[in-house]
Amino acid sequence: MRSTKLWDTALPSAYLIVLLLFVELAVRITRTPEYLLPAPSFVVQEIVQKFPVFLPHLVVTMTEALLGFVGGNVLAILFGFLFSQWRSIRQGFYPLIVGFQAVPIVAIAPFVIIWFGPGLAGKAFMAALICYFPATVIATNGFSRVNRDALAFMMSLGASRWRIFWSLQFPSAIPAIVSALQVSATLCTVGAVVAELSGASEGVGYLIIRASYEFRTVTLFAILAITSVATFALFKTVQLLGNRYGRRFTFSYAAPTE
Amino acid sequence: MLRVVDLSVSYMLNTSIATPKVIEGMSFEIPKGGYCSVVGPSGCGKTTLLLCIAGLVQPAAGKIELDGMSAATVREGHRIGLVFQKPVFFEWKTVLANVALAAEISGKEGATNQASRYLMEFHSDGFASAFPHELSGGMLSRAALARALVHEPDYLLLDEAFNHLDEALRDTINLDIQNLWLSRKPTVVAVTHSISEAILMSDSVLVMSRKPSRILQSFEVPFERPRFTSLRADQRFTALAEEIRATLGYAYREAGDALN
Repeated sequence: MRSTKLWDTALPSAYLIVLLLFVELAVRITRTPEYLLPAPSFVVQEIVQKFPVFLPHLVVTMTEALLGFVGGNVLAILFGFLFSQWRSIRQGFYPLIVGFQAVPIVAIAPFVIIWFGPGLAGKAFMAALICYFPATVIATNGFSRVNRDALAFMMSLGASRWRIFWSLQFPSAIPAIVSALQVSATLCTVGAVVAELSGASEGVGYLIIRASYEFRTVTLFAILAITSVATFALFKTVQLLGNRYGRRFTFSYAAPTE
Repeated sequence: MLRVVDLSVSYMLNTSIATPKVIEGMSFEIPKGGYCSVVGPSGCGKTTLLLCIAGLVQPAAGKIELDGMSAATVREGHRIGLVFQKPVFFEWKTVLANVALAAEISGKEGATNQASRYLMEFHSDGFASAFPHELSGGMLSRAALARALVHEPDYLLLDEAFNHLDEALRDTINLDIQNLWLSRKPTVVAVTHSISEAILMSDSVLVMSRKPSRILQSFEVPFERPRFTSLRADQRFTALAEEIRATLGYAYREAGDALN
């Protein structure tokens, strides 16, 4: 197995191209009407032509998503911290948060529009909400899973509770926080778009609604594609930063451990 | 002075049945500034004893006094330096920063300077700016010692910290410990598997029994300081080692089938 950086990128790209070619061929051979499934080449053409129209809407959606991403994760980290420091809060509240994950958050979107109106705030709130629950669960796990030997070492020195938090617990949680951010990076756009579908005058969701009313399937696919690329870019950025700065929060032992 | 009086320790189990005793009715004293080694059958609760002295494990009965204070008080006053069996280092900090952290926790002024000084003491200043994973086990063991002493504790507790090192390296490190101990005189309790190391380093050697353990016998070690490794060739040394080995052998045979 070859495993180089280039290969890791090249191989999935090659598969994607093959897949698109297959769809292209299938659509052309079966003469599928464009409003049912447009050929990938048409979608590409649509993206190129309409990009100046799409871009401002994409910017709006990504702004909402990013605001939600930041807000949801700050809140998640805060709760992870609270849960790690006060057992009674954790015992009472954490099960609720796990339970709330079962609520189909997207179904809340209509309420959110009622509460916040059709502006940016509601969309950002929705994006934050969708990030918050999984991020809280992951962050809480990170704060609670502290290396026992390191904890014993800190305690043997008579370290205060806050010293243990800042020098050990928080750094130990960073890899988990990075995972939470990665999960949120893909979720936040979902939240923003869903909120837009429930009522908006701009943004990707608004474009989708309009295109679907007009049966312009090719536009729908074009919007889907550019939004996915933007979301993927956000995810990759978070992943790269995480690998760069989050990986070193581990431990080394002086003696061999079994 | 370290006083252990009638100490009993149980494992905490989540059952209502009687909890097995690890240590039962153990008593001994170590004078202030003394160097004491503890040997005993494996799994006899030596580590548990050290953790009790460090105030990290609560005894079921009996008491531990360090200069008349409780173990927890002494620990919270940053007066204890403990080298664990498997010393752990924070990978996101350099070796120097790892050592300095111990000084910071204890509220020492100039923690980084103090850390460099102690790394030098154990000949590890050469890799102060390296990260832990870049070092060998021997180098990290030295750093672990520097870290346990950087806040100048009154009590140094060593838990088989050098077991994994080869004998020559252990000797070198032990002689460094001796130098430091002679100049600063912390009270040392060292758990070890090596009888010869115990004799070489200590004023007294305690032999523990099997679980539930107590002190079987205490041996005084009469040799002058500073001691050197050549002492091992001395006839009195080998005689004492043989005596301790015999007691340890008895500890293994004693009630051997009543356990586990």
